[in-house]
Amino acid sequence: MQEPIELEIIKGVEPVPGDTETAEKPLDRLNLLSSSGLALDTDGWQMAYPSLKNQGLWIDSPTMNGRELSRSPQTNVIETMTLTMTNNDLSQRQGIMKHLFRLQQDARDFWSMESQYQPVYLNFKPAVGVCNQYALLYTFDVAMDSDPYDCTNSWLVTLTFERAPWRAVVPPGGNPRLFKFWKQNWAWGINYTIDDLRLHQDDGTGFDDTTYSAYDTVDNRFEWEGGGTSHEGYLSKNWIDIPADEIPGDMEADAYISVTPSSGSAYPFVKFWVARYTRPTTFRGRQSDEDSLAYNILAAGDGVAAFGGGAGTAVVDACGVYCRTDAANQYIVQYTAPVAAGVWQNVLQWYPANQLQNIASWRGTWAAFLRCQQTNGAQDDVQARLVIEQGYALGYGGRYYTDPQVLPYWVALSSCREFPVMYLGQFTLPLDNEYLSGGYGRGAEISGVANDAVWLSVETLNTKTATRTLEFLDLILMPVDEAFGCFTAENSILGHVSSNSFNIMDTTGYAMHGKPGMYASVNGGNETPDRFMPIEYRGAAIRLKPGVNNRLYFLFQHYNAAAPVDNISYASAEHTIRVSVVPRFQGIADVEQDS
Amino acid sequence: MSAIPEHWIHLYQRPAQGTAFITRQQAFKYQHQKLAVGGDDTMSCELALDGTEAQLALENWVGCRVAAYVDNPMAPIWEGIVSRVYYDDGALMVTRSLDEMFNRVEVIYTSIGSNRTTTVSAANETDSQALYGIKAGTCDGFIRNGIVGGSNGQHMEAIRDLIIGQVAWPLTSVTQSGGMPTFRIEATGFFHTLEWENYYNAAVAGVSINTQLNNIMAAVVNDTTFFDNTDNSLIETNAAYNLVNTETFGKTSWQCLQTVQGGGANGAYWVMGIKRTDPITGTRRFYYRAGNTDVEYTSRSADGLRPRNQWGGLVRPWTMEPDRVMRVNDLLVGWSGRGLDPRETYIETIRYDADTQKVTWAGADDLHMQGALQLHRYYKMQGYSSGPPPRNAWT
Repeated sequence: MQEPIELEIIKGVEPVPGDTETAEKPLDRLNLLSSSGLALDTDGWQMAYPSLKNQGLWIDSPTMNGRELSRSPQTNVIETMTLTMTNNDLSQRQGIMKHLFRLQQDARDFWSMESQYQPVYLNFKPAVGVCNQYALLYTFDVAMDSDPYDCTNSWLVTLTFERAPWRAVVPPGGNPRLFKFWKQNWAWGINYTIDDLRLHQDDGTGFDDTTYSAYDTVDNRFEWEGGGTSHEGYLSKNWIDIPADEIPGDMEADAYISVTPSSGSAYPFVKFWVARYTRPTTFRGRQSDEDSLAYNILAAGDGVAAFGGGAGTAVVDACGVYCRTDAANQYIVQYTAPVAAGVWQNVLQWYPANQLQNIASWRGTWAAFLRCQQTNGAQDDVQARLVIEQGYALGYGGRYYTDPQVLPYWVALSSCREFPVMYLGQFTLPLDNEYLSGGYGRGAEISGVANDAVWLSVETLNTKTATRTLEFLDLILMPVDEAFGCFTAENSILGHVSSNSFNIMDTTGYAMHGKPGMYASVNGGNETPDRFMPIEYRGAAIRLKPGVNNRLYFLFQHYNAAAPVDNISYASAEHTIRVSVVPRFQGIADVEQDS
Repeated sequence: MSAIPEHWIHLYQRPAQGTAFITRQQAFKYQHQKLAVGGDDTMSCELALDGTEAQLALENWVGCRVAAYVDNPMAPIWEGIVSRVYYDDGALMVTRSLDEMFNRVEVIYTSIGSNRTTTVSAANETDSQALYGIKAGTCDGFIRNGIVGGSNGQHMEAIRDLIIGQVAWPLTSVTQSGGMPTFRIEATGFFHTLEWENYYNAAVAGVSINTQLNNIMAAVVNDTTFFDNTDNSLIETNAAYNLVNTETFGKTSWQCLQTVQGGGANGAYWVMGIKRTDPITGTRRFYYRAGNTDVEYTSRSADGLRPRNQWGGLVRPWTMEPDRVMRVNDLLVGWSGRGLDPRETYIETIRYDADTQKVTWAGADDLHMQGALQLHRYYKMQGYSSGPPPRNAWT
């Protein structure tokens, strides 16, 4: 292979130039291309790549033909490097070896001893590549096939590394904003300086948010634009898209994601859910014969009897949301749960001809949430469940029920569009998730029929002997099958987060000083990102799939001290999302970098 | 294809102390078991902690609430409390556990010439109870012959005080090791805290199943610590039969509940247990209802019994639950005989192993009799001391 133009073992996280109060120490470097020390031998490094750990996890049985791959975790990478030591001074040679052994010990101790939190990594820049790449070292062995007291002849030193399966273009613990800067060939001191490294916001000097890999404001709701004539426009959206060209690489990219309340809510959020979606974001549906965007929120107003749906009544209300059926008015749905203990009532129902647009985009596993409330009686009076039916007509096909859940009780909205949010369980669509290609013979589809095929229904059960009044805003479906996580302060002593705090999810290792993994925290108020508070994060880490558009869906829950229930979701709220991407490669990075 | 989804355990304060979140750790070698009667049963996993973290955990984690999450942050796949912590540093293996801890101790005995049992008043270690909740144990004083040291009661009290002096706090053992450094936790489901409760009722009266069940719930001394014993909203009415409400033999509440688990009208099987923390109310509730005999899972011998839903769609193995029926769809395809369908198994037990992605389900050949006749009740569903072995299927 062509020889690299930079090759070194580095320990530490580089101090930011100009930071006079840094806690970081200068990097500890050992050059492996030194003419007076260790130097990579010609063809002394055969690059290796990760392979299947334990040959993969297979579905196998003595009675089946062959076997099927079920899971494919990757190994760390073992690489061997042959170097020569040519220095004529024996003490200098011994000093270099001592340096090597100290780095070896520090690599082994990294986070296996709490006191050693400085990452040790290999930095190399290939002659034909465009940027540096960094691989975290877990350990390396040193072998020497020479006389250690002979300094007249070259020593032959062999290093065998065990490193992480990826090489990132930002060093472990490095600032995740750097990739975006380097991608634009920006240079330190010319295009960006110390204040531009802030991870959360505009620095106030005109260095705007376009310098993030992705930046957008997301609403805590989704509303169609066009009043039933368009499947592409929207008035509000609950997602951010990270374009494919911001995510190069050949492995899932790490991401530093910050979330800030921006406007529309009088209350801080106590919890949010985030889910990754990398399937196509527009479809040409066989049902509608027109392009339709992927979305994940169904307005309650679109699921009522007036439009062919359930028994609820859509009421024009400024505290509601716009429907696809009528984008000129905002609706909530009211329903008086009858005295019929033991009988489930169909309240809301959506299907392809009734605003469940383009069923092809709904393939996958979803966690369902319902914004709703019971306005008289008491908690536990009413239960709700989701029913998923698939067939050629209602009553002819498969039917799946989620487990019943308690419908939240709250007497009155204290703010407009402020509804409790309840979890309704999860389901997979289609019900047989291995069925992909339809009878038209034209490939993947759930149904080729326009007006039926799939029905989503919300049913309620009144367990009391008096009627109960229910109100519904919308049904939110969060995709579970890629990466779905929940950031929550509900079990913290704090109980909620400040309305002007930042909240981060970090897989880049920046927050953990180079340690791989997932970290979530709150940064204290007034947009001064200086006070970290660890917080609970549940579910899968959010990493980004390379080479495709990545959409992140959000749903927020807020804290209102006056509310009798703590799961309030304020649909008018807006939040600012900033994403900094750190791509990862098995092979050679192909992104620009001005180092 | 991808790596096995990461399994995480989330640690929270001990329920007797609060609900605050403590830490999130990636779980390795994760396994759990769930039961149709009880709910979440046992869980174990290893964690990658360094020496300092491991010692902190050894000191603080026993008794904490723990929930395991995989891909859905709204629905833990298992929930309970940490019952045992192992720490092996390569030289020694130390374990600390609630299993043999009892911070409330009673002694039950029978005097010569009496046909009634007597229970001495309980001794309490309230400092331990404030941390871990009340874990009561009953020692059998057998039959006392004559007066020793003043009275039978004094003797029994001395035995009681001796015992609580030894076992009121989590017990530790240390052995030499020599293996790889390991940190491991074991946890038990919340229904096991009903085994921490003693239930005593000297009354002799015929009552309905639900009356007896409500009486047992009302007597829970841990009140709302582990589940909300005042919330009966998930207890359904079973009017199948009445029973005598006397319980004077030192049974735990769980043993008494097993007595009333029984069956319903027309031979229906009933189940009970503790539900996981409700995401809406934030509480845990006791449930009692007819068993679910719907075929919700299917499998095929041809592909190694991978779990599927009733339409053939693949089911993520960590989400599987007991109290459903599994049908093997390529076994006895044309069967239409009399009696129970041999293709179908009511799932009494689910065991899941994350490393192999295998899930085991087990039924029991005599399951419809278990509630009524109290067979096997003092043992886990595996390892019966009598009766037919369970049916196991690996996938």
